[in-house]
Amino acid sequence: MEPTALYDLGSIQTGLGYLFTVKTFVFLVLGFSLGFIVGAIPGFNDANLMAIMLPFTLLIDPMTAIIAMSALYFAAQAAGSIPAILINVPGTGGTAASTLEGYPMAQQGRAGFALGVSLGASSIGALFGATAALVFAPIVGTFALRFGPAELFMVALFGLTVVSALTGDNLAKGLMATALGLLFAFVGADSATAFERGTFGMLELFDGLALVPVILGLFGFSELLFLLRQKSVAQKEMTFGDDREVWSGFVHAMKYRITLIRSSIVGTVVGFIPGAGAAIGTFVCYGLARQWSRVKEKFGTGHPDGLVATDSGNNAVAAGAVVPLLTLGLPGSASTTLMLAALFLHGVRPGPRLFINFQAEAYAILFSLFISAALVAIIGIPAARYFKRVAFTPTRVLVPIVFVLLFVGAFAWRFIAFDILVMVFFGLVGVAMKIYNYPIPAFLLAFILGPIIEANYLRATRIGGHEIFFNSGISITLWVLCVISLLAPLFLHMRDGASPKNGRKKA
Amino acid sequence: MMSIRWKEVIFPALALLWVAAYWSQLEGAPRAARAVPDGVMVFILVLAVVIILRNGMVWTGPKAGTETAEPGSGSAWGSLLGFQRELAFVGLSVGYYILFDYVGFHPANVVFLAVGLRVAGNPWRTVLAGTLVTSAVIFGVAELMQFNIPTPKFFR
Repeated sequence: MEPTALYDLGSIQTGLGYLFTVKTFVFLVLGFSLGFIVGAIPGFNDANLMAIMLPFTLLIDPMTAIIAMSALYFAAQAAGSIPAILINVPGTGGTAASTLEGYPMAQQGRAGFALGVSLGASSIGALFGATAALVFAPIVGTFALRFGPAELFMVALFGLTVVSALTGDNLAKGLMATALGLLFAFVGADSATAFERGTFGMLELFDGLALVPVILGLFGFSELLFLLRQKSVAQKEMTFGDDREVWSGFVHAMKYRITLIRSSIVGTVVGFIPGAGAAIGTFVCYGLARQWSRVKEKFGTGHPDGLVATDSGNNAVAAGAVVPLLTLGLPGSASTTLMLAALFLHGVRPGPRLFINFQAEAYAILFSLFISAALVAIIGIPAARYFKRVAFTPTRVLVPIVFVLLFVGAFAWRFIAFDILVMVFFGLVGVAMKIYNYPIPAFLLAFILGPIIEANYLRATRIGGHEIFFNSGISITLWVLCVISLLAPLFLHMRDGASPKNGRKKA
Repeated sequence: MMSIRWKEVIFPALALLWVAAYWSQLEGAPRAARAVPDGVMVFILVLAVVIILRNGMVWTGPKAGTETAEPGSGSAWGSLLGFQRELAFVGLSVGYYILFDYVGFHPANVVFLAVGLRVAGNPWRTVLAGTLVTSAVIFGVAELMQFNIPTPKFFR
């Protein structure tokens, strides 16, 4: 019998039944552990692993396979923050923002604490995202269909407005970094006319610059060059006996309730928007945390509040992104594309009718997100005790090895050797930006959003001219959010300056 | 009197150079291909001027018009000598790409690790152990994940 109700109790029970069998549970834990280990290795990415695992999943029954794959995907998102915190090497755009506070904490010798904060925030973000996905998935599909090119352009534009929170003291330099990021995003054949831009005859650039080599270069390569002057990432000696610091970081994350809730909501909503991507979500979360903080000056120096914002946001995006994947069949990233492939391979057809035709399967996937969120803490905390030691490894050993991992990561993304050179180039760009105080996150965010902005701008204007950006309620709401995002720092700056309690006026 | 802070001028100058190179390739491009980049390039141009004027030029007195270099800025090449290890790793990285192309993925890893670990200041024992263990792990992962490694030029 075909269930027709949005929340069919029978299907919910069947979905839970799928999940609580020994076999499914074992594969869920296996998938999670594999994803967590691979996600924590700098330069390696979950998408490659998922692609490799895909044929093997045919050996097990469809539901177990899909649940194991979703656990792998989820674990890799949470573990992606580990190399970002320990050695400033984010594997994906979503974890790039974790470097902003996580890495300074590792440098101060608080690597274990930072990992604890990250895991705490990740599990709350994931839990929130999973709950929201479970509640809203059946209805959000209809709403997400209303996001046309104009609305997607506005989402990306809103993402760029948070640049004001990432620029530090010099807005002009922040805007310059943003504009350069956009221009580098426009390298390659134009999507509408195939006209080559900025390729200078290099065939390898025809499809544009790949994201992963650019990230690895800007963050990883450049940082490794700076690390050569240090003995280890952490400036302090490691205290092996105090492994409880991971747990204390985990507990500490719970103190930032407002940030946790705000970032989880923002992350989930961004996840719901097909194709918006985790990078927008995490940077927006970080920007908002900084804008609304009373201790803005602590951001960028290893403030847990910022790390809580980015990591809860990142995992909420990951959970939220499952919704457009299931309800619209729209993946927002390489990993969710592979999730989509896994679903198709096992006969589950995502789309608006998923909650009619495959309701039990959909609920099983959504419930598995809860177990994954719990595993972030259960497996993550003991594992982080060992991972944190990376920050105390002598750089004379660490740096050459991580260099090779970066080369492998840059190459393995598309299996194009030229991407290694791209990574080296952006490594040097990163060095220049650090020396001359240009914010790398602003550059990266613009680089990620560039293609979304251009493609949707052209599509939208072709459909309805420039008026289209003011036609829908969603667009107008996003305009309002853009204005608030740009004006909030000014307002808060004035408020802080006027507050007698503050006693300090920023220059 | 005006002095130029070269440190603040270099980055916008490089940005303008990139804009000029990008713009030169847009000649004859259809409107759709240049609609967004054109706006971004104009924006960079304006920002470069703003940054150079705001950060790159320092007015130190009423007698404007004379340019003096920032103390120490003339010895840029000299100061590069202080970064031998960093420059060595940049060179090694480019070398890795060339080696990758000519002799292949795994030999390039072995050579980079051996030279890199030594340049970083490790004793030979660490160099040997680090090279062997890391190369073996990468080899295992590449096999397991079925890396699509191109045939090196040397063996074509």
